[in-house]
Formats: sequence, structure tokens, C-alpha cells
Amino acid sequence: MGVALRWRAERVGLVFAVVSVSPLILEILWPAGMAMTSRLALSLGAMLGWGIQTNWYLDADYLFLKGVTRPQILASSWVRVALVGLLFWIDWAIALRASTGVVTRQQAETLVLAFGASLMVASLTKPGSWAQSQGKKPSLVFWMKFFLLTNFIPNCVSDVLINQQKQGRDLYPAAFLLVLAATPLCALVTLRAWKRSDLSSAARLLARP
Amino acid sequence: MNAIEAVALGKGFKNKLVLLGLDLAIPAGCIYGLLGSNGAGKTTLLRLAVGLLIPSEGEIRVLGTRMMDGSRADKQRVGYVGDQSILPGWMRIGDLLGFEARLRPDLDFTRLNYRLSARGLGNDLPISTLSKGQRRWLDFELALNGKPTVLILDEPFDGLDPVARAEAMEDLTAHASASGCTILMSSHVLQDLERLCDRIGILAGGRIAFETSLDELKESMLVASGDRELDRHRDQFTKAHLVGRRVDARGTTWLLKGLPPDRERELVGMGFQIARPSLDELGRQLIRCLDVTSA
Repeated sequence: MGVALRWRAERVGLVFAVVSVSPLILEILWPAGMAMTSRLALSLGAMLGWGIQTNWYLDADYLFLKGVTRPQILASSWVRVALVGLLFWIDWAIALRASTGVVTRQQAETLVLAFGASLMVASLTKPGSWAQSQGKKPSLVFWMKFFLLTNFIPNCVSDVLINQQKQGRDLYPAAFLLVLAATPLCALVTLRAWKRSDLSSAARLLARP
Repeated sequence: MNAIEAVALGKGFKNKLVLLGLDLAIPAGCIYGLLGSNGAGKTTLLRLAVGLLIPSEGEIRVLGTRMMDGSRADKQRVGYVGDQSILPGWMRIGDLLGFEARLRPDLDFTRLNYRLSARGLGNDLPISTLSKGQRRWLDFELALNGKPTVLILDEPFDGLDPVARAEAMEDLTAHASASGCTILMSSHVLQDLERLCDRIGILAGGRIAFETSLDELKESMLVASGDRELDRHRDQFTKAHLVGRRVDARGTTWLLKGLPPDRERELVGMGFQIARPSLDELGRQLIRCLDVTSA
């Protein structure tokens, strides 16, 4: 296993795991405040997920010069996008489970929707394409945009969908299809941005004896 | 055999064409210096050579391989130091060396560690805390330690202090003479190239506008300057002699190569002032005049 992956597993992985399960901890400690705190935890989890994606990686140019092929870099980029999406999804699932006690079919659909939305967001923000490639830290504006895209907007959409369903209009299938349709478009955007994207799995491929 | 060869190479970015129909042939063992103004396309050419950019037209091969399709073995024969460091800032130097050790078992890590320690670059230092010069030194050491057959260096001495600069030049010369390595390097400073290079090429107008050996450059180049209207005599000189010219508010400046003495006298008779400038000044004039001539 490459140094990159090991480093993550040791340090960031632990922090992320704690934050991801924090809604459950909060549920035990503070049941009444769950609705708000679960979202707070969700936000933190999402931010950390993105932090993993953007802060600790090997530059695509570096990997390419060391012999990783473009398809490998592209594939590894997608693996990372999917992993981050999955982390969002798990976090969301825990938050919902914590706030309602049970996961209904409707909430399960919300989770799928959130997973798709996470993938879309991860794709649209072009992993690793921004200042990180130059070794700079992400700006406050970036984090604000990120929070809006990954948390505020999906939360609002989710609330609208739930309210509409209460009024007898089931918009979930339409929203679900929309996400499904939009994801390939986002994939195309990522394809164009492949050059600056990479991840530890590429490093792992590379470091394999 | 040519170690680096470009044929009709072109590269554009959105609406800007940086390289256009560039031909270049660098024989094995040659140390080739690339000179050009800002934005002339030096970095683009070097990034195309190592496969980090894909040509819009034509092709460039290093050791007979298009590096963008090259295998890991092909890439390990080529060392590259870019204009900006691409080393992962979140790693410590020791982590990076450990990572590189997995990729390149042939690297001499004892020597590498010794040389880095001598510059105060201990294993526990995070790369993100290194200065520009220290990063450049780390890049340089990693590239050189891989014992490459071809080295491609983009402003390799930029950011180095005078001592490190001199040491880097010595290392490069020693490596080239011991291994017969081919080197393609860019610089703004002709004096840097003078110490190392066999040949230099001036990149202007998207192609190699002028190419010569350094000896030839020092011995046969002269600069003629005079009033603006003197440029009307340009048809009296062939392109073999008149390699570059610029006419601006300051007057006419011609760059001439290999001009016989009688023709030099003729220039003086026309009203030109003849000068054999220093290498540094010659470098500046070459870039100025060739930029205009090639545009």
C-alpha cells in the first residue's frame, strides 16, 4: 500500500469515521436536538470528505511522470469521486436514521437521491482541478460554495420533496430520474478535468511491485 | 540518432496558438539550451516532450517514443524538472523518498539522503514548508538520481541561491559527461546556458527561429544599429546573414551572422554602428529581434 493511502488511513480516516458516526453519538447524548445536530454532523462529514478528496493527493502530473497511465489516473479519479459520494451517503443515512429512528422507503429514496447528488457535485467541482494542484489551501469562498452545493441545496430539495409528498404529489421518481440523467453529464465534465485529478489508488497501482 | 525529435509540432490553447510547425532535432549526448521571451512556448514545448501535454498537430518523440503513450520504463529514462514543483506538499521528505523507493528501486537513496541532508533537507520536513529554492533542489536531485538518459529541465536554476546554482550546474555537467545524457533545458539567462550547452535554439513565433552552437554565436554574431530609415537596405543582405531585425522608436537593430569583413565595412558606410555585444546582451537582442522577425 502506498504512502499516500497509509497516511490517510492513519490520520484522516479516524477523524472522518468519528464525525460520520457522530449523529448516533449525539442521538444518545441529546435526543431532542437531533434534527439540527444531525445536519451539522452531516455538514462536517461532507466537508471532511471533500477535504480528503482535495487536500491529500498526489498531483496527476507527478503520477503520470512516474509511469501511471492516463486511463489509470482517470479510473482512480472516479473511484475517489465514488468513495466520497459513498461517504456522503453513509453520513446522510446515519443522520436520517438518527433523526427519525427508522428509515422508511421515502427516506431510502432520499438517500439514493443524495448519493446521486453527491456524485454530481463531486463531478461538477472537478476534483483536484483548482488551486490544490499548486499546493494552495482552499479558500473560504470555496468552502461556502461547497457547503451550499453539498448540504444546503440537497437539504432544501429533500424538504421540498417531503412536503410535496405530504400534499399528495410524489416527485421522488422524477427527481431520482433527473439525478440519474444528470450524472453522466457530470461524468463528461470530469472526463475533461481528468488531467488534474488522481488519488491514492493510482499511487497504490503505481507502488505495486 | 536523435534523442529528441519534433516534427511539425503545434500546440494551441483555446484561441491562442503557442507552437506552430516546430521542427527540432537534438542528437543523443547533446546539451541543448532553449531561449525565448515570456510566453514564447518554452514550457509548452518541454511539457509536450514529456507527455504532460498532447500536441494539437505534429508529434514529438523522446528516445523514439511519444511520451504520452510511453510505458513506465520509457518514463524512467527521462528526468523532468518542471517550472513549478509538482511534489506532494502534504508529504514529508522521508515519506516522499519512501514512496519513490517503491517506484524506483534503482535510485541511490544513500547518496540522495546525504545530498539532501547536506542542504538541510531532513527527512522529517514537510514538503509544504520548503522554500521555492529548496523544492527546486529536491526536484533536481530526484531527477538527477534516477540516472536518466534524457533530462528535460524547465528553468532548472530558477530560485536557487548562487551556491546551490553553481553546485547544480557542476552536478549537471558531471552527470552529462559521465553518462552521455542528453539534456534539453530552458532559460531566460544566456550565461547559464553558456556554461552548459553545446547548442542553443531561440523559440520565437511558435518555432525554433534560430539555432546555433555557442561558439558560433560568440564568434560570428554582431549587432548593427542605426536610424529607422536604414532598414530599407535589408534586401541587400541574405537571410543567412541577416538573422533578425527590429525597427522601433529607438531605430533599426539588425542581428547579423557570419558577415564577411568587407560587408561589415559596407554597413558602416551606410551609417550603421557595429557592435559585438557580450553574450548576455546578445541573448537579449536575439530574443528582441527574433520575436519581431518571426511574428
